[in-house]
Amino acid sequence: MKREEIIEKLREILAAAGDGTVPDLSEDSNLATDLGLSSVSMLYMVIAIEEEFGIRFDDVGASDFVLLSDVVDYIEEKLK
Amino acid sequence: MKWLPADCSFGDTVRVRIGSVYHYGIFVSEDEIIAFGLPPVPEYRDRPERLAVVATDADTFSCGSIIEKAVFSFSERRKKRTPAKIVEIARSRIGETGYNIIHNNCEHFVNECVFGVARCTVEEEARRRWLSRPICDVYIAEIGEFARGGSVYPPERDREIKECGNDALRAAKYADWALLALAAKRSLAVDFEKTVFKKTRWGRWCAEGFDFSLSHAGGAVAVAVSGGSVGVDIESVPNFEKKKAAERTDKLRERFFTENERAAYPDGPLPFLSCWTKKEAEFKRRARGNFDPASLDATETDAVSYLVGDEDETVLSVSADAVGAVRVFTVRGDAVRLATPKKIN
Repeated sequence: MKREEIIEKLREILAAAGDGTVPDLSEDSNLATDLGLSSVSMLYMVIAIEEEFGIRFDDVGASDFVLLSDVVDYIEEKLK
Repeated sequence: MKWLPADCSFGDTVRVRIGSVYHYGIFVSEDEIIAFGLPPVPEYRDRPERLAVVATDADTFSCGSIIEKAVFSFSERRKKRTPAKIVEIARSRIGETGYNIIHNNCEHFVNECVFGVARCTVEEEARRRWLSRPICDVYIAEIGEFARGGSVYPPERDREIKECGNDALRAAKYADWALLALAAKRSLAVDFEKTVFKKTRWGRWCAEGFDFSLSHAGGAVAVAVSGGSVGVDIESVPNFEKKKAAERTDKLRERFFTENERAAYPDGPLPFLSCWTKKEAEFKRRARGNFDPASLDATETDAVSYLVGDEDETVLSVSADAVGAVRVFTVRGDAVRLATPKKIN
């Protein structure tokens, strides 16, 4: 899966996990300050990513992800 | 399992609410509560034992919040270990690391000590919510992008398309079926080539396991897929205006719109198309009978309308069980993008 496809899928997940608003995303988006993800919505997002990409977040903590690019890197690595 | 703010005893399962989450532990005494990690509060953020199994006193565990104890149901009481065994297991794990907020957190820890099964209700509920969320996705593309010819699945549909004598209509049929295959796979993880398709007595194609609806107009094709019932319709605003139909909307409204619709949709091309496509979308969702626009009242449906396209040239309406969950995607080449269409009355 291409990097752009992963980001697009994340846009869909974030829209569905939030109030339906489609967020503007860039690789530099900060998960907490730009996207306003609380710890609960972060948990929901991670579970949605696991289900949508068929991967498991078993070797990271929530604090390992600061920017959206960190999440994309992780998904890319797991999909290899 | 219920939770009560009551006096705790040796081997009880306990929890405290910290902000929007709960922190769980095994109560041994006021001086010893064993938990996986310290409570998620700023003052413990830099403590090295923050993400390890630790024994703390009740004050450290509770952070000033009320400690609740678990009251187990009859069947849970039959499955749970004895207090002595629970405490023995919890103590044996002190110092253990490998904390993971999804798969190995404080709730997993207490359930493993008490029942021998690591599970977390928050994770299970979030996963259940995600997997059971209503899906109602609409995909829009240009007919030219998808009218590639060749063969489509199932053979009956393939034959029907090939027998179509009108070139433009045949291209549109190729396009909507190819877009349907993409939509069903992408939104519903459907194995399209193994799906059972049938044609109803009213001439509408339907699939086992999911619902879909097709529409095309003005060089665009739209496909809606959903776990519930769904109908979609699009109309091209420039085409409508070109046909001079726009100049006759007052007569069309008089003939085809109900009194409620005439009150809700003022005269003009856009309100007309919005109401008309809602009627068609609702008719397709019901999937039976013949289309009789005058007998179908758009104001009595939950259908929603949007303006889509680079120049807002297409009116799109969707009627569905899960109309609140409608998402619109634009497809160009291999790129599928979640759009933010303008909602119109």
